[in-house]
Amino acid sequence: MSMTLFWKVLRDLRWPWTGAAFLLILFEGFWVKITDRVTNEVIPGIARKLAQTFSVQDLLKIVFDGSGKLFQAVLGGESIDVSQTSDLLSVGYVHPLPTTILMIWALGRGASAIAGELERGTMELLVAQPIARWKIITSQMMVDLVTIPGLAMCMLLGTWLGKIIVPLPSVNIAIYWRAVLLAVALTFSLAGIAYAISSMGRSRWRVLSWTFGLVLLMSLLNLFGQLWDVLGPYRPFSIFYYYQPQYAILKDQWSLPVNGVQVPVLGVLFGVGIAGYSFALWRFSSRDLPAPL
Amino acid sequence: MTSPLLHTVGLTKEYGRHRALDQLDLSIAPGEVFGLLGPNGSGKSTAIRILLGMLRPTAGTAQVQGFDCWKQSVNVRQLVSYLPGELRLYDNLTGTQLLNFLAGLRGQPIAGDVDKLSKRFNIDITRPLSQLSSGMKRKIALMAVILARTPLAILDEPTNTLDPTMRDELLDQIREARDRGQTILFSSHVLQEVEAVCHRVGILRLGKLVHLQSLDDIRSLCRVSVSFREEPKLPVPAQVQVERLALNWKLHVRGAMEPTLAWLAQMQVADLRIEPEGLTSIYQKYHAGESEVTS
Repeated sequence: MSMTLFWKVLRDLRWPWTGAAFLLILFEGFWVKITDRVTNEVIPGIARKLAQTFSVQDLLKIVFDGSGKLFQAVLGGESIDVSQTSDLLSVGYVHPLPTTILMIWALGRGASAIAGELERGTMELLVAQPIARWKIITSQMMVDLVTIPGLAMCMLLGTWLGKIIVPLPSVNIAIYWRAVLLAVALTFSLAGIAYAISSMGRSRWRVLSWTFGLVLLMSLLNLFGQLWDVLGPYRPFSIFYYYQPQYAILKDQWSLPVNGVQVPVLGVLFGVGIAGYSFALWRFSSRDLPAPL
Repeated sequence: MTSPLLHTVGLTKEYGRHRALDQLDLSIAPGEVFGLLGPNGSGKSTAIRILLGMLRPTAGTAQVQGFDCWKQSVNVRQLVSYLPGELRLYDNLTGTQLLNFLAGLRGQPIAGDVDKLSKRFNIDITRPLSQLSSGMKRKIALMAVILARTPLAILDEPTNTLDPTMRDELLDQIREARDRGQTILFSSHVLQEVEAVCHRVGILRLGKLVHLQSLDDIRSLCRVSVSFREEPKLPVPAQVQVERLALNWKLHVRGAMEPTLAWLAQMQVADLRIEPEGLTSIYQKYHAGESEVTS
């Protein structure tokens, strides 16, 4: 890799990264407050009012029935008991907002690292210098190895800061590093996919469109696969199936069944990422670099 | 004879059925300033991009100092600095930061004469590139090429967007580089500039090298347009090529003019015009009617 390029890319990313990091810290911090309010005030309050008629679990069954299943799937599925503090706090790691921030980061990085540079014409400036093309990709990859874990750590930082402000005595925050690891793996795999598509293109927006379309398809497959049994068997084709931080946090479970076989989730997520980066490395090193658009 | 610094044999590039570069055979000696001419789409940029290892040739080879331009492109680019025709820079950097960045990628510390050069180019390199005009950005990119001090500099239409003063300065820089022994491959639409600095020129047309000639050779050519009152009876001197249309003749004279003038003195001449042949007429032979070239 080229340290000069590494530091330059890192410098270019400092403000977008700070913005994304701030949003993640803010969200996770607020989620602690939301968890506290829901599990210590709202649900016990409702429980008290409904004590004579039916239980909180009966109420949740009604809420998550029918179209409510969609909401339950977004929160992490049937295994999550939102009346439990630890369970609801873990939802902060599968919530669409932080996952969307991580997804935008991953796709944006992949699309701009190759196709974006080609589109702007700055790739011409880079490849005219005595630097091997594989070094350009590995320099970008090294930047991702710093920025992606940094963003994921900000989620935990947000939870930690939130817990300082709103103490949740029943929650052991130390086990939430497991979610951070999975968030890193998911973002890395998304970035790998984006790099692979970017290595074949020369227009950042076209790469973003393709990548976003693919990721949206996988996301919907995973979501609807939880709602309709007919789509269930296809969920393993979505990388979001392997991103289940709640299993890791609450059950220390790191594998999921695929056709009856337990598959390590980190292996799949990091594997997809490595495959994507490797493809990008090979394709970018061997392709013609056309003149800027 | 010294071995060429840049050498291409049968260099060809095809995009599907379109042949952008067709069997280019070219040798450029160390210290030579070579002008590559041709309109857009003639294959100049394709040739340059192959030399820089950005494109893989469909057939043929290109070498710089014996290094293959595709397989050993990093070694080649160690020897080459490049000023692109369509310049795109990192606008979030200042001039100084860009120069340091490019020097860092080269793995060479930036030379000490940055300040001297920036004064000579009359440019403030501490300003962000986003605040500079395209001409000023080109000056900074040109500084990067000059400061790299590579054996070969490839300048793709370097005077684009430069004001006349800066254009003269650039030509001076090319002369200085030439005097230092640097080799320069120079593509331009402005024939006057090419005539001013180049040792040799090559003209590309539809990807083919259709003309290759030294500027000394071109400068030794004169064109005599003459109208006779009656058909000349004496044979024309040697070294004179004739194009005739009734009594209006065009004489292409190589070398000394005296024999031709002596011959003309014996004829019944109605009108006479003598002018250097120049690059323009040669260029127009291949690209007549293509208006983008400035003579």
